[in-house]
Amino acid sequence: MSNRFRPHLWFVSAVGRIVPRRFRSEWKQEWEAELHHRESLLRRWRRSDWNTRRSLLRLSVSSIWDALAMQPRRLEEEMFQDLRYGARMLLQSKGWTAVAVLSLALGIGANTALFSVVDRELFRTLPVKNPEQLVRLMWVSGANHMLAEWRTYGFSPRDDATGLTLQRAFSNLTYERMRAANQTLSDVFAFGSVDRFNVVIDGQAEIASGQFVSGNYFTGLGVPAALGRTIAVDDDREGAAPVAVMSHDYWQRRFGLDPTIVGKSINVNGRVPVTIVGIAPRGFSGAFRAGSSFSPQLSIPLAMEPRLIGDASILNNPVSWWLVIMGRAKPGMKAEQIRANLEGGFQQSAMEGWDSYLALFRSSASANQPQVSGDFVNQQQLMGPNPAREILERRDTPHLRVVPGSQGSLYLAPEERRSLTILVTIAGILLCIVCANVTNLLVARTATRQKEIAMRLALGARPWRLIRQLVTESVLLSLIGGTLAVVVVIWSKDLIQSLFEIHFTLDCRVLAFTAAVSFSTAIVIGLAPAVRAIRVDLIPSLKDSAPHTLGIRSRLGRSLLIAQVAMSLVLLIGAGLFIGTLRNLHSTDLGFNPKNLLLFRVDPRLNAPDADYWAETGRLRNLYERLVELISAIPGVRSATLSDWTLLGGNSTSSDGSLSPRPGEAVSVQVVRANFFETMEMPVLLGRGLTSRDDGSSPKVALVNEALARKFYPNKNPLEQRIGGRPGGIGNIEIVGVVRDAKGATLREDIPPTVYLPYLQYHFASMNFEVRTTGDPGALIPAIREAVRQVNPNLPLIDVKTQNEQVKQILARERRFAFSSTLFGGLALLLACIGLYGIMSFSVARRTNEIGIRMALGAKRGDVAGMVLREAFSLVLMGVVSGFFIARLIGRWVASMLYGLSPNDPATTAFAVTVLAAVAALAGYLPARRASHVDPMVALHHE
Amino acid sequence: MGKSYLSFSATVILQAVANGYQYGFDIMDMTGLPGGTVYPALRRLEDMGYVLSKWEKHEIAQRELRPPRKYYEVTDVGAEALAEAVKRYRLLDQQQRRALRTRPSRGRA
Repeated sequence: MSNRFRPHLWFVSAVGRIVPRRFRSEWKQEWEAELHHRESLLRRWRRSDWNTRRSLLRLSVSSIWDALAMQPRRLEEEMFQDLRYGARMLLQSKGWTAVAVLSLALGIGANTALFSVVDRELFRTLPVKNPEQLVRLMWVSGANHMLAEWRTYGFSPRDDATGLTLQRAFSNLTYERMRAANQTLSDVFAFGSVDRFNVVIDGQAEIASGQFVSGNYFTGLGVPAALGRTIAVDDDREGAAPVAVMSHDYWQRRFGLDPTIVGKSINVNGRVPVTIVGIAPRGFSGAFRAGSSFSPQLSIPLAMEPRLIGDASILNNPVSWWLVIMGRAKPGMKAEQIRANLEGGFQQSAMEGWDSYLALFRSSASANQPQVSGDFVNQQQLMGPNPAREILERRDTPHLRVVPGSQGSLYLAPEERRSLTILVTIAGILLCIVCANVTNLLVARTATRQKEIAMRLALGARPWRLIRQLVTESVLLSLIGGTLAVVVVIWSKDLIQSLFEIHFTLDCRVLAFTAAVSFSTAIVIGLAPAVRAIRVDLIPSLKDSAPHTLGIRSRLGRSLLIAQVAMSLVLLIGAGLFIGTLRNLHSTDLGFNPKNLLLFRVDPRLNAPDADYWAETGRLRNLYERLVELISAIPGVRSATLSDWTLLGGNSTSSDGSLSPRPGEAVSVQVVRANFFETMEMPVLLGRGLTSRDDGSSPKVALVNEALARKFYPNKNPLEQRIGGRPGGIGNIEIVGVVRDAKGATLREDIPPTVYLPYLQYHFASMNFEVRTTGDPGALIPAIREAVRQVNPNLPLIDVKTQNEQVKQILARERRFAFSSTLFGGLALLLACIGLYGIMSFSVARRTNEIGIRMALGAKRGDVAGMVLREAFSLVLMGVVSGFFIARLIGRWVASMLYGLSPNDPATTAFAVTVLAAVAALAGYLPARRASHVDPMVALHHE
Repeated sequence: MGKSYLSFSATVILQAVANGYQYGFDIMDMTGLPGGTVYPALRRLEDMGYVLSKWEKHEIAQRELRPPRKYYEVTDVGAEALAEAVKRYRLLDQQQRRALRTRPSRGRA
């Protein structure tokens, strides 16, 4: 074989060029040695002919696959190189790196924290098997609907086709009919929440939230028991042994995860011993909606409802709809098919139910109307005792709607969604500011490395390679920032929990979000400076001074700074508006004295020995009067009173029926004990107050507030007016007094026209206590508990809190806004300050030479300082002007969240601008001072 | 390094090295696999710590007027992994045979 013609060796040596440099020589040697060896063997065997040569060439060709397989190592190698280099560069300027990393950590941390909240509220699906298969059944109906009352369970959107609001509550009759007709759902299950169960466990009375569920609820959802078993179909039969499943949360909080609770018997509503058969899995809080206020602690089979609720049972009432129905679609079933399958049975059962109700009506005109409470929408109560024609003519058939139900049955209320959107926007703006800030810092830094970059380009470095290296540095920065962000979020866990009233967990979804934000931040902040850096003119850059490149740099830097100032102003104005709103709400005139006032509620209905117990005349009244008497006698209590709903509790009763002076116009109705006005310190302005003689045996009387008198009797004496009775007739209730205006259910709403009725003339089972104390109301809670226990040991206190705590509760959202926007506004201000300081210092350093010349030519220190400050202020001014317009644009969007000021409130805007200007002056002052202290001699030798 | 399953070709190559075929080309001849399979597999096995590579003594190479060759040896970990992989493939083989013998007829039910 000739030594000159050895194509296999040439080939290997050519292929070797694509092998990563680190491995290249060894790789070549390995292949060459093998080929040499094979050659020499062949020579020894005297078999070197063209055929063997071809096979040698074929062998060498296979080296190309080996070389290609080594390519990933090249990337790995270069990446490590970049990372090492990047880390070295970051360590070189520690202060710079600290500022960049910290601001990134704050920006990413704020977004991570908010994402964890938003993810929970908006996107989280139910923790059940294949939630995407779940559907919820809903219905729509015209105004002449064929039912007496229904539960709303909170917000529902409107139906696309009809524009009517979707309703989600059904009757048990309709549920059973649909279940019988079902062919399209693999399971259809029902559940209805109960305000509370009065539970006696180990001799101690307490309140638990609960729900009644159909027997296939847990199997239909695909939720196994964490301990014991779930409810089975056989448990949901009349006569079955009463069982319950406890939520994991309740188990943990109340029983400290004690496993012996399974199999224990608890007493529910003083009537029925119920056996706890199992614990629901951790994280499962029912099928209403993850994180909603409906998170039942006890689940009990539907068939138990009549036994536990007694005479208030609505299970088999065909016109009181309260059950939520969900199902699991069979594979391939579309919503339309499911609707077509179930609608017939639904409409027919709705009609049957209505007919049976009307028959009942006709047979006894004086039929007892069921007592309703909570969020039941009751049409019938407003119509008075004789509905007659109007009701008999109702004939609007409801229509079924089938909606995806992976998130559970409830929708997020629009105002919640809106407030989340605003918070996300605020956090997003903060991240933008952070990005602008760090980009600016990076631009400044790459500018100082311009010469190095130009040199490397001139020596033949590939531009792509340089970009990758610069971007690697920013990736490194934001990864460190992201890691720190997670630490920040974990630190502020308690804050997030108390602010958003959620249970905060840092799960992999949140961490994935943090990683994604960190990476995209890295690209955003790294790419522009990197691309800018390599697009340099080599020749001037390599010379000693490089004015051209600095010009480019500062244009980008300046516009970024202007944007930053603008966004900071927006956040500051937002913070000012939300703080102003909170302040206005706090200082608004309540009309009563909220200090030293303790609130709580009792509900004796829950554990009556039998259904008719409280219906007996006077029994309930005696209980309440005895309670008031005992509580008033406690030392430190000035007075105690009762009302059916509490002031500023978020809920109220209203009527547009006969209690309104003009039926059709709603008035607020509050049923109170006679001493309510003294206790709340609401003066009676006209006529008389209520007395204990205004009871069931005396003529019906009412008090009204000023707002009512103003609205309905502008030029008349309200004391001569009567309300109530049949529409159009003479009222049977006499107005005997006018009370000073006080806020109703909320702080934001105007004071509603209100009618106050004496509780002795009405039958109300559950009442709220208002206890006025001389000192700290919290200290009296044990004594009050003891007083209640003396009267009835099975009567638990519900919602014990002070009036001020109640006010704080209804202002939770406002506080959330004020706090977040102030925090973020402050951070934005700090970042803008750092940005301005950075850019002005850089500008001063760059112009040292020029400043030196100016001073040599006779410029005074003040002139130089003024020049620098002017430059700083021109930037701030541009930012303020654009920020002002942006704030005006998005101000309309938050207008509905504000109270007592407009989104363009001049004082707030002026304040924000002043704060920004003051901080900008400070940030500009230091570089200006440095400039004014430039020594002309030194400066002229600069560079 | 965690437990990782060896592919069939990697097992064959590791077996060849264990049997004393220590040079790349010898392994290729022995297994009949192309160089584009054998070499990347060897490098992976080396990364996993299943084989070690060493350079031939200079004297031998000099005698033949060529650069020293690289040869591979199975490590203890490699030997274990090999035994396990062989067992697995044997089991698979048996299952396959059994399955072939007792495959249910796919006719109408």
